[in-house]
Amino acid sequence: MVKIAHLYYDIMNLYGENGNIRALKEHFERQNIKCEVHFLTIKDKIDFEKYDIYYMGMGTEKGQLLVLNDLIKYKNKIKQSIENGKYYFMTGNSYELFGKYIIDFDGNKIDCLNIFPYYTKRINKKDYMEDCDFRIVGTTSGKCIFLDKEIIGFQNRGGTIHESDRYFIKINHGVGYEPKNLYEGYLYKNFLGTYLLGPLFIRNPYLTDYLIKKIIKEKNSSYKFKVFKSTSEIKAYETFVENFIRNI
Amino acid sequence: MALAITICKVANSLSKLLKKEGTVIGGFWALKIYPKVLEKIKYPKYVIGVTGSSGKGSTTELIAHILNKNNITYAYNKNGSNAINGITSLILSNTKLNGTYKKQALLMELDEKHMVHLLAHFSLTHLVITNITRDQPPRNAHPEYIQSLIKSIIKNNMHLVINVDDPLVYGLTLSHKGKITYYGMDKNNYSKETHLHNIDAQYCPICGSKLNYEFYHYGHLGKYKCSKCEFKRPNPDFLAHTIDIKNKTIFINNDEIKIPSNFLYSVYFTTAAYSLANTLGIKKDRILNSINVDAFIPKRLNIYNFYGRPWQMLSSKNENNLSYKQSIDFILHEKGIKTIILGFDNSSRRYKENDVSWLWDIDFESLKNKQIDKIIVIGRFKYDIMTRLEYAGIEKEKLILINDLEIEIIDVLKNKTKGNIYSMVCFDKESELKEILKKEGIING
Repeated sequence: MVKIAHLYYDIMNLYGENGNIRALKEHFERQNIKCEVHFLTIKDKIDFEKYDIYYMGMGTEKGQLLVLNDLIKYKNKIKQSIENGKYYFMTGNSYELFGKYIIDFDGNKIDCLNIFPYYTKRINKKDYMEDCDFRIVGTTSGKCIFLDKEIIGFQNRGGTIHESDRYFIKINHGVGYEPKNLYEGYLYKNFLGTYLLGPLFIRNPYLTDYLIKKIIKEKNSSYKFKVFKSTSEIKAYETFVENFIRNI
Repeated sequence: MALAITICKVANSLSKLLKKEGTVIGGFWALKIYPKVLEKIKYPKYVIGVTGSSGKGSTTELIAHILNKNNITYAYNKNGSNAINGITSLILSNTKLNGTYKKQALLMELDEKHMVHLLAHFSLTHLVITNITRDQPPRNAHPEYIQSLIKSIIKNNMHLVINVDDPLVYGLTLSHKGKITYYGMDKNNYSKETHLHNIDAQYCPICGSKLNYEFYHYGHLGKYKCSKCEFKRPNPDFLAHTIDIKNKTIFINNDEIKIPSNFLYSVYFTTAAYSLANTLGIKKDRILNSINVDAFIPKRLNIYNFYGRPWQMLSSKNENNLSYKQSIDFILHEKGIKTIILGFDNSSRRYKENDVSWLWDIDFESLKNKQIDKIIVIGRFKYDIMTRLEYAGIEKEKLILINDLEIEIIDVLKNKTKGNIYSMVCFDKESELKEILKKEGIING
């Protein structure tokens, strides 16, 4: 049995992120592993020891701060739980919350969980060309450092991350967390954060399988995995790579 | 200024002679030689804007129809050119060389993003806001971003006509000191009580507490109330009720009104246009007459006869989950066994970005329905749609994947499917389907 906490499911859900929870559940169940998902949000008491996986998706700038306001009281517990090897999958701007602070549009510093050394800067008009429209938008793909498969995804964000010391995707197409470099994501123990938004685990079935296998193996090292070779997800992935990544 | 106006008119005429879209280029050149031209115009009594994530085109069209039937002269961007050059062209084409706008009303469908630049030059007297929902995120980011853009152009001397079923719309008018007219829709057989996870605006704009809903029409539109403070959907001045979509009739307050099509969104655009016309002082009987008697003719339905089976073509509202869902709901409310065709080659016709995340914000689960015989999936993103439908729990034997449209589709439809056909595909794929039907000797009507 695997337990997943879908954190702030009703706020951090801007771009079809519910697909990630469905993908994880489906991939576990294909391996005959029971999977329970709890939907938790503001005012719920969140236990940071009870679950195997904590997931959070992308929100609006306002929604993100609403969440931060609730999340900050768990700061030490979250830090401990990451150290203890719990899985954290944070997609879109949710991973900004685990850094030191966010500098907002007016230059104010908003304290975050301060678990990792990076900070976030909201994209400001004067930093970029006027037409840039304050957001980084587009298809992104890159080489994953722990998987021999290209990661595909989409970005649509109003922030950039700075002074990060880790990554897990080397960008081939698109931009990284800081547009001037080609690194994307943050990997520390079993914490995985990335600006790639939306149904990342639907769109990257190889990544999803890698992760769920790792989790299952930790519980049962002799587990015999079933192989699924030509699911619709895999075909969608291959088709996208063929149409948009290799042919660009 | 006279020069800018002349250039605009000449450029438009030349462009028309060359059989190009003659509505944008004139505005472009006029702004180029005289960037402040829009600030110098003497505007008419009514400068009406209509904006929102969806429904603005239909609302504007119906308002135009009502103005027309009531002998109020007007100009409006009928062809949908809602960016600054198009609207500059529209205004200058209707302006005398001395800078006086010639008609009684200026009516504009306004793009939520472009209007910020446009309305830096002049102001509106009336603004209709239809809704703020997820719509083309690569271009529009997210609803709260659009909300902030709309808020930035609202001035206290504007009369706002707003859809109060949308808390994002109502929320942005809380500090408005000018006139506001509220419109909304009562509970009907499309409304839902279930709680969805993927909706926007679940938290109160005043105190940040969770909003409770008595019912949802779709997405975050419905009757809401804050769990803590006094924020709630106000009583609409114009409430659409006793809604009978099938027979295309509704009531607005005490009056029975015909709606132009059997889609839920026609309730909203009819109510919006009715409310706006009312704020202009047009007599109620005249408005009713314009809608009920001098029928407003909606766009022609795309219906074909496929070997004795009706085939209705609906456009695929990519990247707008609520519009897409309304098309699904329309199909589900139709009687009988159905076959549905879904697919697209690109997420957007406007930009090259191909994000597919919106597919996960649409309730495809509702297609788990006994009346649906088969769902045929076509286009470049067919496997993404297949994945979504499989996750929605639709039986695999109901799903048919088409690799080569031209070779397979007729045969598959004839031999493997039953019932009325509904296609909901992108523009390019719809053209291909029409070509294929033409070769079969099947044409519209």
